[in-house]
Amino acid sequence: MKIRAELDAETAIWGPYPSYDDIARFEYGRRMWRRPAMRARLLAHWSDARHPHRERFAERRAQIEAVLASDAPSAELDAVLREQGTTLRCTAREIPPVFGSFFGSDPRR
Amino acid sequence: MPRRELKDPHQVEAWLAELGGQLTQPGRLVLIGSGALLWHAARRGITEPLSENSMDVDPVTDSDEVAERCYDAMIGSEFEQRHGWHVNLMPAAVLRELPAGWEARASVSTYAQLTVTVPSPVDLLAPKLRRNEPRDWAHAAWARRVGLLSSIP
Repeated sequence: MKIRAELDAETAIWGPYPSYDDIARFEYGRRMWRRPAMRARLLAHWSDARHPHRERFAERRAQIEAVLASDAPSAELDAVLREQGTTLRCTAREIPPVFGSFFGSDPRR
Repeated sequence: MPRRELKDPHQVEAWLAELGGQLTQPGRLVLIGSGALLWHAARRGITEPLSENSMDVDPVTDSDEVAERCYDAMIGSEFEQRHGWHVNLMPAAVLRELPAGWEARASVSTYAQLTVTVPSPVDLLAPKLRRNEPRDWAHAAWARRVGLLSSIP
């Protein structure tokens, strides 16, 4: 069970009513980013002409990629982002979702 | 629009068996939400469909290969076209919505390389009833009617 301080730290990042979908896109996105084939699929998907968030992704790509590539603990990453005038909560919201039939296919399958 | 055709208890077990058979190394997940209620129903031989169809299952996993497979089953995917519902990955933080001590009351089962942990029906319903949406109450009523619960809080 998480100790109170840990829960308080998470609340400080994600707020008292966290969006689990946002957290999922951040946490799983970060894990998938470490898998080169998945990273390539995600980038292709988010840049696809059929993805409605492609332009927004293009505008924020550097920041999104930096967050996904980071190994820093969430609190540390949030602190760094706050120094840049944003937060992890805001940046996670900018990570595009994966949906539709155009996510591509894993060439290994 | 997402399809909403998850209703039969056997659907979730069939997916878990398919997923477990695809893994190349041991993986694990925790299943929550209405899909988990359907899993309990299947385990008890219950065939009565969910009172209100669901559109997804909600797994939490710390296994990258499992997560990767789930990405292939997200909303709008070919998986959804084939099955009529999709997979919605949830973060581990969502598990703190469950009542304390849920792990001790959970069921664990294996499907080839996949180990699946499913909180008890009462624990699964606790966050649903807090959310207090009509479909959550409909699922709670279904769970009671088919015998997954002795009482509803």
